[in-house]
Amino acid sequence: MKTHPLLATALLATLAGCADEPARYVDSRGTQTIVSIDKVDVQDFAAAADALLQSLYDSPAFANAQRKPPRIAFSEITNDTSTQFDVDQLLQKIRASVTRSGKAVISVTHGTRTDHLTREIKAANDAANGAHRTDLPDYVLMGKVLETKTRAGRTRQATYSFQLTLAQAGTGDIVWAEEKEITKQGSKAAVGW
Amino acid sequence: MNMKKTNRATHLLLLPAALVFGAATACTTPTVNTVESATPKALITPEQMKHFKTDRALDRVASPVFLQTGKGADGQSLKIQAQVQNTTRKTATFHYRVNWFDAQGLALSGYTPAMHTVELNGGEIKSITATAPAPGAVDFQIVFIEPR
Repeated sequence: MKTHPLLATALLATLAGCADEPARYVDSRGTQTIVSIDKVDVQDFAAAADALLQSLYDSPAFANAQRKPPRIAFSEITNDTSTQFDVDQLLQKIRASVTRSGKAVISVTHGTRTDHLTREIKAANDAANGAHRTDLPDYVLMGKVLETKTRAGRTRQATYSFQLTLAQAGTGDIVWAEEKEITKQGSKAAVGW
Repeated sequence: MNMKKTNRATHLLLLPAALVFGAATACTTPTVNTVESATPKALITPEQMKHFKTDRALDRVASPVFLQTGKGADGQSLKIQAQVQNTTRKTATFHYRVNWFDAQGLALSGYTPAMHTVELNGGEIKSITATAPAPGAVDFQIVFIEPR
């Protein structure tokens, strides 16, 4: 059987098109990253951190602080999604931005469990008997990442909610709270968005 | 027999019409009408826009109509707001990021802007707001990007 040269070329071109794509570097903050539906992607952490920080910087929480810049202790950030990831992917972006902005000082001398942290600060404040303890944080930052999944036929949708709350260390009064939702929809993961 | 032929002919004539109607219904996307006060109370400081257009299609779905600046809650940080309109009749999505520059015109050190996604219905105007991540930012640039 003779194969027509044009047919052979077309077949080769098709096979080349279907061949595995070699690995390459892409900008982590660009639009060529992979979009998954069932997990939080690198660009989602970046977008969430950016939006939450915009809100925090625009809130009067830091401006109204007694001490300037105020000290913040990071408490627990819970991952309540079905996928496993290190919450530091979100938190480190917030730590880096807050530190660079000069709007607050981040304190890591205390534990991260909210109940322990609150108890520790309250006990220290009580022991100080009204005197101002400069080593204690003014605010405690805590948060949660949640997911809501749904589908219609083959189309799946996942919404990831990134929630952060800033509370006054001594009183526990919430001075700022924000939520950033990221919704992704489709039937399969895609390269680029 | 004739009756059957007529019915078949009618069905054949109606089929394209039904297809066109179905396609038109499926493709319909919401458009937007708005109402607001004719005498707004806000003291607005409009900024003149310098607009670089390299993609006309993108400019139709993300057309900046108003730009203003102000200060954040700390009274120092630059805050911006751009009103962007989708001038088409179809729902459209675009991405944007905000670049910040210091007093020397240099990109704000250590700050890598993230990309955000906006969906606009036909004719809709939405506000994009951003607060500078550091008090040193004095200038900005909003970059609009077409989705893949």
